[in-house]
Parts: sequence; structure tokens; C-alpha cells
Amino acid sequence: MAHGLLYELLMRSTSTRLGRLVLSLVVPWLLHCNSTVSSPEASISAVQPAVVCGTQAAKAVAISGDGFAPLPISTLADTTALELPKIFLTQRAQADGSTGSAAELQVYDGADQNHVRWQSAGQMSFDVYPGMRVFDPLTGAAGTDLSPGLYDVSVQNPDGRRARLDSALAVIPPPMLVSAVPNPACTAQGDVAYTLTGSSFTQVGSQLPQVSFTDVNSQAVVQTVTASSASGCVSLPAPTGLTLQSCTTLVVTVPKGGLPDGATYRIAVLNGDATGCASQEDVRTVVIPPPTITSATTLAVCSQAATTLQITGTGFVHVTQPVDLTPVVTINGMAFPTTVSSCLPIVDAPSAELCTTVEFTVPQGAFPIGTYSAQLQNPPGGCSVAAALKIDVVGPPTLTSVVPTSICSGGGQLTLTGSNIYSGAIALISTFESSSLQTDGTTATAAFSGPLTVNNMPGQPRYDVTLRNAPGCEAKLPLTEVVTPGPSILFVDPPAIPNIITIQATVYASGVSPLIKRVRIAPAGTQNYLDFTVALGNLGLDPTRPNRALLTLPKGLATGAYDVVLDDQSICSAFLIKGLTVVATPTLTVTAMTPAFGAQDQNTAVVIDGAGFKSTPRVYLTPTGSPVGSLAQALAGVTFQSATRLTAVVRAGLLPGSYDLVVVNPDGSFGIKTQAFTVTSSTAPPPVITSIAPSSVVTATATAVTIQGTGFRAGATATLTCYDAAGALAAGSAATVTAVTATTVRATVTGTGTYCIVRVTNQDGTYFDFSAIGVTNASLNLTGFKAGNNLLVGRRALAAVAGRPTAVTRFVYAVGGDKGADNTPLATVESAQSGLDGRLLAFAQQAQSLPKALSFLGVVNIGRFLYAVGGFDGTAAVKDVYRAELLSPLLTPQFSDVDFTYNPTVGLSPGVYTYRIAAVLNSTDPNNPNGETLTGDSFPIQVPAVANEGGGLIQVTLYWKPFANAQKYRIYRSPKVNDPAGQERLLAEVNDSGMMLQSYLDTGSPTPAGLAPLPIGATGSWRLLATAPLATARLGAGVAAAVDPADATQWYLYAAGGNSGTPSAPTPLKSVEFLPITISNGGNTQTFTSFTAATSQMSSNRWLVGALAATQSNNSLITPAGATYLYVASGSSTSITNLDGNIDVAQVLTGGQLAAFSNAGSTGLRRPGYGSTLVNNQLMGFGGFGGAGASTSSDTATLKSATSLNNFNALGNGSLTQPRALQGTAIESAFIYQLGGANAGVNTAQVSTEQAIW
Amino acid sequence: MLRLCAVLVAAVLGLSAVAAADRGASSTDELPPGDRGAGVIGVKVGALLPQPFSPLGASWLVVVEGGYLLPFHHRLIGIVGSVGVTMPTVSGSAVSDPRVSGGSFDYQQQSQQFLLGLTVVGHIPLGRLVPYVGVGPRALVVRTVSTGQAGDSPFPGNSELSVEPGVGVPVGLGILLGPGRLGVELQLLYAPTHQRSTGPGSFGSMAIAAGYSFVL
Repeated sequence: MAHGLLYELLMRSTSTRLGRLVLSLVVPWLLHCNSTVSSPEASISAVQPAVVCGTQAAKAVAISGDGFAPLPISTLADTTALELPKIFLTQRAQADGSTGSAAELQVYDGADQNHVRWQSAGQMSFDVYPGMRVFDPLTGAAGTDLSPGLYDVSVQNPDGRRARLDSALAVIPPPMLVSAVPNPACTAQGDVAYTLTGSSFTQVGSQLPQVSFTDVNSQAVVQTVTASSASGCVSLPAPTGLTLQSCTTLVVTVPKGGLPDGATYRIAVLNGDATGCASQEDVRTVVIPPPTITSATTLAVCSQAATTLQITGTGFVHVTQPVDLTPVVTINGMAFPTTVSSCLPIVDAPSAELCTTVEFTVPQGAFPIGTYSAQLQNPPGGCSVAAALKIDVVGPPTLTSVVPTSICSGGGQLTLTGSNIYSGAIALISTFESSSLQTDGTTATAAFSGPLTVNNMPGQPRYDVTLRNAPGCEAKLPLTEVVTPGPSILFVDPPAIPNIITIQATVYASGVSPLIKRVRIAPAGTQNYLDFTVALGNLGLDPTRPNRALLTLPKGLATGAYDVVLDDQSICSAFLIKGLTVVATPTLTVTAMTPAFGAQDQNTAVVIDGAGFKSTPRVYLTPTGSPVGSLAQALAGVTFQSATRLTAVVRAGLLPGSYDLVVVNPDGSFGIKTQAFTVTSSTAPPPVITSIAPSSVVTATATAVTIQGTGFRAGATATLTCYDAAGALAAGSAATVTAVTATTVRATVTGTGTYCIVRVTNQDGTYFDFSAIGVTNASLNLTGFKAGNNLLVGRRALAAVAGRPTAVTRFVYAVGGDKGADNTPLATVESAQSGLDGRLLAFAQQAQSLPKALSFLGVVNIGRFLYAVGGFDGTAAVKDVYRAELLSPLLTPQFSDVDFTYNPTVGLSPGVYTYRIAAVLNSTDPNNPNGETLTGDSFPIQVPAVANEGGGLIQVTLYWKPFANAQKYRIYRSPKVNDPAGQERLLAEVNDSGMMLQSYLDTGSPTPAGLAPLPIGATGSWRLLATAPLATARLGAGVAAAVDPADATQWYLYAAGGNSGTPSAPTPLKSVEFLPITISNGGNTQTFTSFTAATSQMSSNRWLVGALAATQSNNSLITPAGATYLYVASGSSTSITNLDGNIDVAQVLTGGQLAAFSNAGSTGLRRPGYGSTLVNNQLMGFGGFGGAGASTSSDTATLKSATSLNNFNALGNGSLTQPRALQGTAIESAFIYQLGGANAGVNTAQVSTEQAIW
Repeated sequence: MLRLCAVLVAAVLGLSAVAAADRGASSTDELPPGDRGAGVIGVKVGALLPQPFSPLGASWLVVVEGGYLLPFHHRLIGIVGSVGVTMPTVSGSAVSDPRVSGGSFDYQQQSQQFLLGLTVVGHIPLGRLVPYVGVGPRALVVRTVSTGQAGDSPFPGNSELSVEPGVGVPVGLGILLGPGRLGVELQLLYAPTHQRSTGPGSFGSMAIAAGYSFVL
């Protein structure tokens, strides 16, 4: 520095130019022979923004000033570059106001990361970013975050002199959100003020944080609101001219209607002044619609007694914590507390539940006789019932006569005479209530549906008849009525039918004297009967099921409720008042049935999309237009996925033609989609696409693709429907078919957006939509990973695999793994369904776990089975191989009949119960030993009330045909009467009796409380392949499946390399072995022999390798067609983090042996513990362990040929959202999934998942 | 290094001050017995050609030299000190760098070189023609002035100064003419550089010059 000053002094004192030149050359030489740089004086005038948070994403900060002088360097070498002025951050104060203690930080300015930028002599900028206190100042390897506090900012020119602005930059921590109240909330009727608690909610000046609400399903930000107030604030050190406060509570008001009902929203707090950080905690609020009333909205209260009223409906909120709150009923300005029942927990609102029943008591004398308006409002300050609620305060009636005094057990009508009969009154025979009552005040007609308990035996007393205006206000004629035997109608299935189609309904009865002579229906309360008899051809009877009758209900029936009457060989008739409802106006939305076509001789699994579905609808196909003589056919295996999605199976046998789809909810609401499905002849099946190669194309570039499948015919066309990252349609796609065979369509396609649905259409109009092919840029970059739903437990060293229970239902499975330590393996398996857009729904634990807890295992899918190979049991590597079946919704037992039995003390309360049945198979079953099947169709049963002086109940006997290989059956039932379908729990297990008709008697006890039925996507039991263990115990082996090049029914399961020691003391392997598997019986049977040693070995001993089967169907450069090459990628040579970059490749030969392995010629993957895929002519490696632990980086190498790879480069848009290694990687059509894995060091585990389109 | 620099300066300045009369001879054969040698002082003008060694461009070159021709063997050996000045430049354009405006930058660097040298010269006394070859140390005092721009934004100038030791090997032909010698010379100059501005390259060059030296 002294030399520089002297030099400047001499230069200024020399007047001539030559003199200055001489001085400039000589003086420095005399002073010093080393180089000295001179730069202009720099100054800083401002830093903007002055408040940042850089722990989540890079945040740019601009520095204004003057004299910022970059220096071109190495101009005489081959590496000319620019040395920018250096930027330093010096902590002046910590976040708590104490003196700063953090070491001075030079912001890493390498051009590879672009964190420091020069705009002009007066303007520079830099990033505050995660890990900016770098681990390695030469490479800029990420280190730790910048500590919160107040910082001086300095700029140092190349001569080493600095300009500094004191207290220029405040670094604040990200906000952390702990809770949000209210939850649930209702925004439909007014503004809702949320109170958010947490920490580090930062107020910058007067600017409060913003709060966003993101729909957890669509991931769309629905509402962003600025907080209206903050509290619990403390001051933070702040740049000059600013005030900063860190607060713990925010209040934010969401405007009326700001959050649509029926959705869950993730709440995030974004600190003010664009500091760049938002809360990451998964804090949610559920927005529910206003409560509704489904029971009568006019209620009667007795003026002479306290009256307890019950209201049923939907959306009654019960807050359980911190204070127990229930809805409040207000009558004429007077508030009444309530109690609730029939409640279900609210997912994402753990301190509340939704109830369907509210009860409250009006004390005697609270109101004089009259009619009052009432209101029901949810707590706290929630929405109110919109419908008008009326309270009638009534006095007692008088009853003078009843005719007739005899009634059949199956039901009938009584005429009651008296006075002051209330319009909402009911009549009772003993305790059996009338189904309906109509009155003019002095005369009432009461209808009773059977069965009533008979009392006509000698010595039995007659039943009392009671007329009840309201409990406590009633009149009685004692010992009046006799009930004589006869049949009873139990229920009609479905209970509601649309009148736009001709449809079959089943009448279930009991006590029938066979055969049924006639069934009649009439609009409720009328005698306008429509007859159904065998002779008329509209009544079907089965002599083996005497209690059932099948009605063919013609289309065009008048809408409304119908009474149903059944006549058998006895003198009594059975009545079911309002047993059937006919509806005409479709209120459900049915948008699509996928696929829209099926062959006459094939079962076709379909997905039905729409809105308003309720568990579990009946679904029908009826010939389009319902021509005379046509009949709607019910679909099998209807599964309720959500209010917008059902799955079902169209059974083979429908005549070719076009069909309308009708969905009928249990409450009678229905929807129709015309021409939703076409049945083709068995000789011309519709197309089915199974795969597309390549499954990813470059955007806006014509690309030749091969579409594999079945049912393609000459003249077939192809179309693309493309979507961008936001889900909006992307224009500009095109497809042209170049060649067609029965199993292959070759086409040239041009994709746009991020992914495209591919449709192949035959000339007869039948088509198939395939989801999806990815669309990349010219560098084959991904579209970027997006976070998905979390796993239920953190897993490391797990296996991930995709599987399809049906052609249109897709699941991703996370199998085993450990909790982040070698000695904590997991046996559990969880799964999540994949939508057409690739997004995973919530994960759920599979009922079937691995028989042994295993980590470092490999799992592959072959057809209907998952195979788990090798692994580590916490102590040693294992030779075990397991497999589990993807359960089919078609292979299930079904109830075939039902009957009822009276019991005076034990039985079921009257109402609707839903039953389901599943089989538990024998231990010798090859596919699912000792495992359970999916359940058959839901089976709703209306249990009638019993009229008996001493009370009594009904017991239900269920019948079904035996199921192959069943050792026992599991009967599921709704826990309580009138519970909606879908809530069934295990009621009983019944051993297979060996009889042709199996049965179970439900006595009403016990109450179902066990497991729920297995959902679609469930697997069977994991069978140990005892006769086919690995020859060598392996953990971390590469596991892959490949088909025989000459026989499509022959597959091979390969285990390559691995580690026969332990993760901490590895003994890596280079041997390979394989298991031949033969597929038969339409894919439902897979037989195997035993593992055989491959004659060729890998080039090096290594484990944690990716084994990847490459075929032309997933990599177009693989030739010839039908050939499979097994790539065994890089791995760990000793410890997990010790990389062995070798990549070997060998061709699969007929019989399963491998040709000699050759080196793929690539530099290999860069990080051990990676996840991998080999598709679209790219071997991609995701994450893995980098210098500082798990990495977010991903790399790719493209195929040069079937057996060689180029070197690896960074995969464009391949950065993971979370650091990840030892994760599970799965691929399903165009979607790549990353599940769990280590998120930092080797001994960590995480729950997060993410997905990308490739 | 500092000491070496001082010795070089002293040697050049000292020898440049020495001069002895030796006029009137048109051929080296005419030098009388008992010749006591003679001092020389001259100037050369020419061109510096750094291209064989670095991206620097060609530049003018001016050299002032002085020394002494030793008397034995027809003034076979001479010792000459020299001072030269030259200013070659190097530039580049559209150098990619994502950190600057526009993603690339242009630059210009002028290398202001002050060449100090001491040479032992061997003359071949052929008569009127005197071919010669020499070798000696060089000290290059170099000031590199850097400018440039990214997009429309010019870089404020930086400069860097250093002294680089090197070597010079002149080869030339002198013609005894008048009171001195008319000469042409090709000189190989080499000096490494350790400047940040230039990087680990060299200031090597080929210098072509012509001039006249008075023999005193």
C-alpha cells in the first residue's frame, strides 16, 4: 500500500508525459519487483432490497455506487476471464441485537454459479442463497446458510481497496407457521378471519406478511391476502431508515367466497418486502360448505313436555379442542345448546369432526303453541343452515277410533279419527311407527311398511295404537290392533331409478310363500298400480331365491316416490311405503368414461369421471337412447375413489353398439353421459395402447414414435392433446400415422407443452387415450420435479415400483427401507394412486407388509405381480425373494341373497346397512397365500322395523357362492345404521363350509370395528419363494426384469452385483443370477423355477447399482426390435459413498443367459446412492451422495448405440426439490417418481416425494 | 529479486557512461596495434513482434544503447547496455461470462513495456562488415492498462505494474560507416509474466530493428 501511495505521489509531481512514463516504468521496479494493481476508488450508495431471507431460494440484492471495476485477467493465457470486484458481508449485529460474531463472508463469485453480477461501474448485484457460506471457496460447494442479523456490505476492487456501506443488509429467518384457526372454516356466507401462530413473521416498516392458500389437490394458489394485523412482535436490528419486527401471531381475513368449499388448503406465510422466504410447514385448513338439513325442516315440539328434537343433515361441526363446541340452534331469539352424533373425523382438521346428527331439547313451556322460525349455526362463528327451519309448538291430539283393527305383517293402512291431529304426527302400532301419515286435522290415514310382528296367536294381546303429535303430546287406543302373518318387503335395490332408461331393480322380501304372484308399484298414497308378473315378462323370479323378485322398470315412469306391494301365495300382501323413487332430472355430472370402448368378449376396466358421486353409486350401461326392449346393465366392481371419480368393470357379454352411462347415487341423484361407451364385436376389438417409444419427444419437433398395443387396424389415426406445466392446453401438437399393424402403430408426432395424451382412433371410431408422453426441450431436459404427497414414514434404502391393478388404475408402491440407520429396517409397504396427470394421491399403508423387515432391497413389477429380491434385515444380507399380487377387482366373492329373522332381544336396529365380502385364500394359493381378496360389490340392505308389544329386532342372513381357494371369508358392514357406504369395517370371519351356498347370520353383535376392506391398489400377501432363493445373499443389488427375445410369455428376474456383507462392512459382488418366470392364464398365473448363475459377470465388484432393462419400446436406439439389454450402472465399490463409476451392458439371450458384459464407454454416474432410469435413450441418475451429503443434482448420459453411452452431464431441469440419496425411484408411463431416501448424511431418512415428466 | 534489479540498473547506467575514441577506421583490419578499444552509443528503431509467444500484437520499438568494444582481437567482444520502449496491445471481444450485462464482455489491454538490457556481444571482424551475436539479461518493466465493456457499460480502468526478468539474444550485421557503424538486428526476447492481468504467459517477442552507433 505504501508503495502505491509513493508511486501516485511521484506521478502527480511529474509534469511531462515522458517523465511520467519513465517514472511509471522505473519507480515500481525500484520499489518492488512484484506486480501491483491500481483500480479506481469505489463507493457504495445503496443496497436494495435491504431485507432478505436466503435460506429457501436465491434472492438477488443490488448494490448501487460507483467505481466498480472488473479486471480482465489471463489475457495472454488460453483462459481469459473477468475478475469481478469482490463482495463481502460482515455481520454487525446478530438477530437478537447482540454484536455480530459470524465470520466475514466473501460471496462466491464463480461464473459457474453466477451469484455475483456486474451491471455497470455503478451497479452490481449478488445473491443471498441457501448454503452461501460455502464449504469450498474454490468450487463454491454449498455450505451453511447466512446467519440472521444485520450486515455491512463491502465491494473490493481488484487493487484490494474496499468501499463499505454499514448496516446495509438485514438477513432474517424464514417464517415458521405452527397453526391456523379456525379449522375447519366456512367462507360461503361471510369473511373469515384466520389467526395464524408461529414465529419469525416479519413486518418490514408498515408492510405485513402475505398469506397464501394453496389447494392441496390442484396445487393452485387460490387466495393470497395481506395480513391485517400482527402481534407478539419484537424489534430486529434493521438497516438505516427501516424498522423490522418479528412477530408470532398474524390475523388475515379471507373474503366471503374466497376459498371454494370442499377443499383443503395449505397455508403459507410470505414475509413482507419480497424477502424471498415463505413458511414451509404443512399447516392446513379445511373449507367446508354450510351445513344442510336432510331431515324434515319443520319440527314439532310438545307444549306439555320437554321435547328433544333431532336434526339430520350434513356438515354439522363439532370442535373437540381446545374447547368443546357444537352447533347452536336459535329459536325466536333464544339459543339452545346441542349435542352431536354420527360424526367422522376431518382429515386435515384434527381438532374437529363433521357430524350428521344434531339433538337439542326445548324445555316445557319455553314457547306458547304456534310456529317459530329457527336457525342452526356452526361454531365458532361458522356458517348457518340456509334452509328455513320451522318449529311447530303443538298440543296433544284426541283419538276416538281406528279401522281396520287387523293388519298384515307385510304392512297396510289404518284410518284414525279424532281431533287436533297435527300434520306432522305419526301413528304407532305398539312401537312400530307409520311410514307416512296424511291428515285434515280430524281424520288421518297412516301407512305401515312391514314386517310387523304377528300377534294373532291365541292368548296374545292386541297392540295399542298411538297417535303422536310430538313426544309427550299423544293419544292412545289400547289393545286395538291384530297383526296377521304374511310376506314383508325389505327393500328395493336400487332405491332410486332414473326414468330415462329401462332398468332392472331387485325387490328383497322375507316370509314369502313361494312363488311370488305379483309385484305392484303405485305413486305414493295412490292406488294407480302398475303390475309386474311373469306373464307380462317384466317380473323375473329364481326358484332358488324365493325372497327375491327382479322388476324390469320401464322408462318414462312419472317421477316421485312409489309404494311397492308384493303378493305371494298367502292371503296377505306386503307393503313398502315409498319403497322406490323415480327421478327424471339428472343432477350429477358425468363427464367421461375411460376407455370409451370395450370388446364384446372381454371384461373392460374403466374410470368414470364426473362430480357429485356419493359412496357407492350403482352404475349402468343402457343402449343409447334406451330403445324399446333395451335394458340397462349394471357394471361390476364399482369402486368409489372420490366425489369425482369411480372405477368399475364392464363385464363381457354386452351386444355390440353404443351405450349411455348412468350413475345413480344411493340418495337417488343421478347423472347420464350419452354415448359414453361402445361395445365392439369380438372380431374388431377397440385399440388399447400399452406403451409408446420413445415416451418423450422434443418440443415442436416431428419425432417418429412406435405405439405398442392391441386392436390397431388399418386406417387408424393418431392425435395428441398436450398440456403445459399449469395444466392448460398447449397448441401446436400434431400426429401422422405412417404404418399400422394389429399391435403397432408407427407415427410421426409433434408435441408441445410438457406432456401429451396420445389417442389412437380406429376407422370405426373406437379409440384409446394413453397417458402420457413427456415433452422436453432439445436437450432432453425434464420439466422439473414437483413435490408430491409425503410418505407416511421416513424411509431410506427403500424400493419403489409402479403397478397397475387394472389397465386404467396405476399405483406407486414404497416397499421396506429403513428409518435412516442400518439396524432399523421396515417391513411396511405404502402406496399412492397416480392420476392421469401423474400426480400422486395421498399415500396409504398397505395391509400386507413384507414378512421380514428389509432395506436395500430391489422390487420390480412383472404383469400382475411385484417381486422383492434380496435386501438387508438389519443384521445380514438375505437370499429371500418375495412376490405379491396386485389384487384384481374382478376376482372377488359376491353376495347372492339375504334373509331376515326376528329375534325378541338381539338384532339390528331398523335402517340401511351396507355389507361387503372378501375371501381369505388358502395357504397353498400360489398367488395370494393366506391373503385377502378385494371385496365384491357393496350390498346395501334395508333392515325393517319390528312391531311387537315387547319390542324385538331383526337378524340378517347373507348368502354367497364359494370362492376358489378360499379358506374363509371376511364380512364387512357399516358400523352403525344409516352410515353412508364406504365406511364398512370388519364384522366377522366365516370359515368356508365347503357347501355350494355359504352363509353368515348377522345378529347385530358385535359392532364392526376392525379393519376396513382392502382398497383398489392393495396387494396380496408377500409370498416367500421358498424354492427359488437367491444363490448368494445380496443387498443393494441391481434388480431388473426382462422378457425373452423369442417368447413373450417368458420373463427373467435378474439380480446383479450387490453386497453379501453389511452396509457398514461391505463385500461387493460382480456376479449376476436370474430367475425364469413363465406367464400364463391371461397373466393371472406366473410360475418360476430357480435362480441360475449368469455365465458373464460385471466388470467390477460393486453394490447400490441400478439395473436397467433397455428395449426398443422404451429406448428407440435399442436394436433389433425385441432385443433387451441389461445395463448395470455405477455403484459403490466399498462404503456407500465410495463411487465405482463402471457401467456394464449385456444382451439378454434366449433362455435368460446374458451375453458377455461390455463397458458402456461412459465416465459413469457422479454420485453413489443415486436413483436411476433408462428411458428415451437416456440413462438418468437422480441425487446421490455429493460432497456434503445427499444432493439435489441429477445427471444424464445419452445412448450412442444399444451398448454404449456418452459421458454424463447435468440433467436439465433435473434438480430435485429435496436433497435425496438411497431413495426409491419408480417410473410410470411419462412420469418419474422419487420417494423418500436420505436427505443429508448417510444415516438420515425423509418422507418427502417428488415427480417429474420425462 | 530487489537486489538483482538494483545490480542491473547500476550496470547499465555505469557502462553507458563509458566512452573511448576509436574513429577513422573503415575496416577492422585498420585498427592499429595497441588498440585500446572504444565506446559506442547508438539508437535503433524497429518493430516488436510478440505473436510467436503471446496474443499481443505487433508494436513499434525504440532502443537506445551504449557500451564498450574491448580492444583485443580487433574488438571481437563488446559489452552493451540498452533501454527500449514498446507498447503492444491485446484485445478480445464477446468473451462469454453470465455475470456481466449481456452475458459477454470485450476488453483491451495495452502492455507498456520498458526494456532494460545488458548484452555481451561477439563481433566477427571481417573488415568493413562486422556480423555479431550477443546474449544478456533483460529486465522488463511492464505496466498493463486494462479497459473493456460489457453491453453498453464500460469498465473503469485498472492498471497493473510489474518487473519481469528475461533474456535477449541479438543477432545482427554492422557496417563500418562514417564515425560509427550502421547496423540491422534481429533480437529474440523472452520474459515470463506473472501478472493477474495477463495470466501465466510470457512477454517473449522477436524484435527487428535498424540503427546507427557512434564509435567514440
